[in-house]
Amino acid sequence: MAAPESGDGNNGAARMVTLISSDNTRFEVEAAAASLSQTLQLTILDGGGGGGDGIPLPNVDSATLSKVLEYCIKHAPAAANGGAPNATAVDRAELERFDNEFVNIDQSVLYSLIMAAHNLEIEGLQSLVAKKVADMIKGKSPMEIRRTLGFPDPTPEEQAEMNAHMLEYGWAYE
Amino acid sequence: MAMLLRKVWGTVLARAASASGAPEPAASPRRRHAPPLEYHGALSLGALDAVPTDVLAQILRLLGPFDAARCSAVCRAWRVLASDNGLWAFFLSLGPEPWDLVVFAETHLAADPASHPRLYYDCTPQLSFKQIYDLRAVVPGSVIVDGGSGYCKYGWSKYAAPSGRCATFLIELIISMPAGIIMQEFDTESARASRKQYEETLYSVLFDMNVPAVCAVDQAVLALYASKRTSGIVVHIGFNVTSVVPIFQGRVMYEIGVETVGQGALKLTGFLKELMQQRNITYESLYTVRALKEVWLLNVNLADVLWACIKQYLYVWITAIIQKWSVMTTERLEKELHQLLPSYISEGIRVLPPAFGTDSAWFGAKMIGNVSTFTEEWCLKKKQFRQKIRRHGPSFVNMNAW
Repeated sequence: MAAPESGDGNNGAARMVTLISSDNTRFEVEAAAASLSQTLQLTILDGGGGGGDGIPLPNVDSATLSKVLEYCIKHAPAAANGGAPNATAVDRAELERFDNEFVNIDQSVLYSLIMAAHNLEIEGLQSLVAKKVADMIKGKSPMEIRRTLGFPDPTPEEQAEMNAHMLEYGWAYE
Repeated sequence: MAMLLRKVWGTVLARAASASGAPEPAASPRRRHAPPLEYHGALSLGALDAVPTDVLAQILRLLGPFDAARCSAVCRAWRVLASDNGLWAFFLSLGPEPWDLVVFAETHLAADPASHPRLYYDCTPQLSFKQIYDLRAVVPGSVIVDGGSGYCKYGWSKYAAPSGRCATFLIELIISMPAGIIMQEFDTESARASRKQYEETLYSVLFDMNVPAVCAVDQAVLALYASKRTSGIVVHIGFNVTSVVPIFQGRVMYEIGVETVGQGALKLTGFLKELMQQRNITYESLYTVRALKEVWLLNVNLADVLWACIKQYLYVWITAIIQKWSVMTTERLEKELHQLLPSYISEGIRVLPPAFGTDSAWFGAKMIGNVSTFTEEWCLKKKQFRQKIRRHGPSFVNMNAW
């Protein structure tokens, strides 16, 4: 909170910014972590979010935001190294392990993460959750996909369409 | 001929069986119509309803073609999403074949250009890459036999390269066929008749072996296709003979004349060998000499041969493809041609090296063999052949109308 407004020096005490979720919970994080979000980065570069102001995020609730920030804090050091060319294999393995655990979550949380990652434009998180959803769908039949994604049972008409389509693209089901 | 083909079948079947037990998908005669997209009606993505479409597109890309095709069966909304042209172009570009060749094949070779001539400036219709991917996925594999007079290259159309080659010059009876048709110097009645007879024999031999469908295309044309052209002049240095073949829109222009030089690779090699011996140069094998002969070839005045051919042509756009030549020699030939010809002709002439070296014809055949409309547009099926024989008598094979 006491971080200098002048901000992005090469060194010095890590600058903190405050983010406010849709349900008015305040989160204080390092500017470097929050800057993983392309949307926030500009605001932070302009010196926003410091002091008592905080950056309001009306699209993200507190549960999701805390999850997003967990990701950002973990990935901030690697990102600061410019894609981590000098990161050791151990570091990378550790990040990978973290990522795998990170997306091992309930579907509803996953969907809100997708939305948050999209709104905040956090590239790494976007591809991480997209990959998770892809893994959920991969290798399943259309019917199984429907169930996985919580669709209602198909009407007879829909069922007929599905069957016709499956027949047409037979090679995809071998 | 039949012996050779049986041999080819044998190796291919053995390899296909060991690669996977998957049965060959049946070829269903489907058309490349644009799918009716239904944007109206209740479109629900279920739990993913609120997710922006570009995120969904990203997910579909990650899924790959098989799962994307399944997704499009899930519901209408997913069908719209999973029918995106960019998505399937992306999948095709990830496929085993180079993207540019796929596009060329689908735009120019979807129909045999020789039987469906089109104007040069024809605009290509909008391609539905999903349809193309779908059709290409079910095009049955085929055996490609590129019967040269020296070496016969054979292989399965789904493989990346020819499975093998055998020396046909050892079996004197089999040889001389495909090069033989090209070799006609003038478009005389007898030449036409012998071409026809050859094709008929080829078809009937193959169909007698219970081959389901046959597609016979001239070697020079195939080599041209492999270089992404449908018109041009192909200089084909065969084993026994070198021929200059003018081709316009996939059709060999016999009426203009196919020039041949009675010196093929074999003779050249022998000549080089002699030369080298005279100068006390030792050589390891025939292959060393084969690599050297390219340099010598320019002294045959091939440029003169080309000139004679070009004089008869007043195409503004002429492409020459030099089979089996290195880039170095094609550049020299291009330079020589430009010096030799008046500028109004030489302008626009480009000499292209063979796209795939000595296997260019094989790769051209592979392009056709994998094109989405292969079975309908290119193949002659056993039934059709028998019907035509019955209807037109034995000399029907002028399908390609020269």
